[in-house]
Amino acid sequence: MNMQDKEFDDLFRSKLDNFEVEPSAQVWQNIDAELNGRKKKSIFPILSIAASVLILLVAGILFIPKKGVVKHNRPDSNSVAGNKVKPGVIKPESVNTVTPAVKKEEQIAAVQTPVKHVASTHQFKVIAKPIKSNEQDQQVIAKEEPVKPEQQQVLAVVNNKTDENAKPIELEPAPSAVKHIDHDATISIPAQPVLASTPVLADKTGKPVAKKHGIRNFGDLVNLVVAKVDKRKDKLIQFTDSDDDESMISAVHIGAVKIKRDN
Amino acid sequence: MMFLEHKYTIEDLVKRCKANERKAQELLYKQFASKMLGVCLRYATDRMEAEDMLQNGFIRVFQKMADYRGDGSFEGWVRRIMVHSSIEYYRKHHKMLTVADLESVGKEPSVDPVAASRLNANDLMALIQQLSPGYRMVFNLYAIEGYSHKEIGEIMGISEGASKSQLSRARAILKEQITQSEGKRYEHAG
Repeated sequence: MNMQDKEFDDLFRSKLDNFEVEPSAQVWQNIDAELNGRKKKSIFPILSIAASVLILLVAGILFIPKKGVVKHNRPDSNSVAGNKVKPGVIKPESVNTVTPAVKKEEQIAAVQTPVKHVASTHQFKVIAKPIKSNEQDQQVIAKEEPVKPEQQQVLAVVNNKTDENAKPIELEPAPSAVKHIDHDATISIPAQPVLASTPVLADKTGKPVAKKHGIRNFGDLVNLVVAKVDKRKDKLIQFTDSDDDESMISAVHIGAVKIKRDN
Repeated sequence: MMFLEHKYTIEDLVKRCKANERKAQELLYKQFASKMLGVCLRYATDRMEAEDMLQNGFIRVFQKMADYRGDGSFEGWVRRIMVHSSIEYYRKHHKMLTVADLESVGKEPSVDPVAASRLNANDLMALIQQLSPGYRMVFNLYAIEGYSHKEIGEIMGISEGASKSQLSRARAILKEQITQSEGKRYEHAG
């Protein structure tokens, strides 16, 4: 009466062949979710690739030095500075170009170029004007005695950045020029607040000048934020803080990647 | 086949599934889920395990849909994937236990064919699920799926001989339990 193995197996096979049980609804939900997950995953790499390409492009564009931006030849900033001041100043061009330098601390940067410009022509004389000429403005000057000797320096320092030789050139002719433009000076002196602010520049000779300037462009803003967040010496990202209207990335420090550009 | 009375044929659904159309995938799933759970249950200790195998199996089906060339029945293709999903599950969860399966069983009992044929599918399923995973796997693959001992040895990472001996042990356990349940039935009757 014993059952053969074959029979035994067949019994199971035949009886279980059409065995059906309804699965719980959860199974399809899981499958559905899993299939959705896969889809998202497959899209993800494409997105991340696109994002990194974009980042590289932007970084590349920012890093390419702009050859056209040479500080000596910036007619636009020149003219802008000149135009701004015109109404306040009576004297023609010679005064125009320089006054802005004194007018506002912030504008020193923008005018730095004009000053330079001026120095190369005959107009540099004006630079010294406010310094020795303002007898009428004793009140102002008195407060800031160091200004007299040092204001020249300040201007010189700003120029320093680009060209060392420019300094002496400006300084020497200045005194001689001072006297004979005396009258002009009074005109440019409406810029009293300026004198108040210049000492700040004067105290800190050189570099600090750049730090003191306000937020003028995107690069400055980024520098400010990064400086708050990133306390390392080498910041995550730094923009040039030259007093340009345009900002360029000067340094990037991401882990092992360190790129720095001299400016 | 009831399904074909609706507006879709399996071929249509397969085509739409290949285009990753979710609705078609769901319809295809509904068409085969119950039957395939029946397959997976034979490889599982309980229903939860079986549903796990079913779930993974169907995900595989949809991912590999492009591989189905239309030669052979689609149901057979899905079924083979379910068996593979079950094997995978076994490899992940039970393989380490196989050695412990080799405890001795008493002398192989004889089974009355008439009594055995009285057992219904649920009884047989319960018997199979009581087997330890290794025996269950070998019995399923050989007795029901029709794999050779060589193939089973490769699948389970054991020798052909080990497959044979595990099969006979599995049969012995099943027969013993059938006999026992028969005995109980008589006791109840009497």
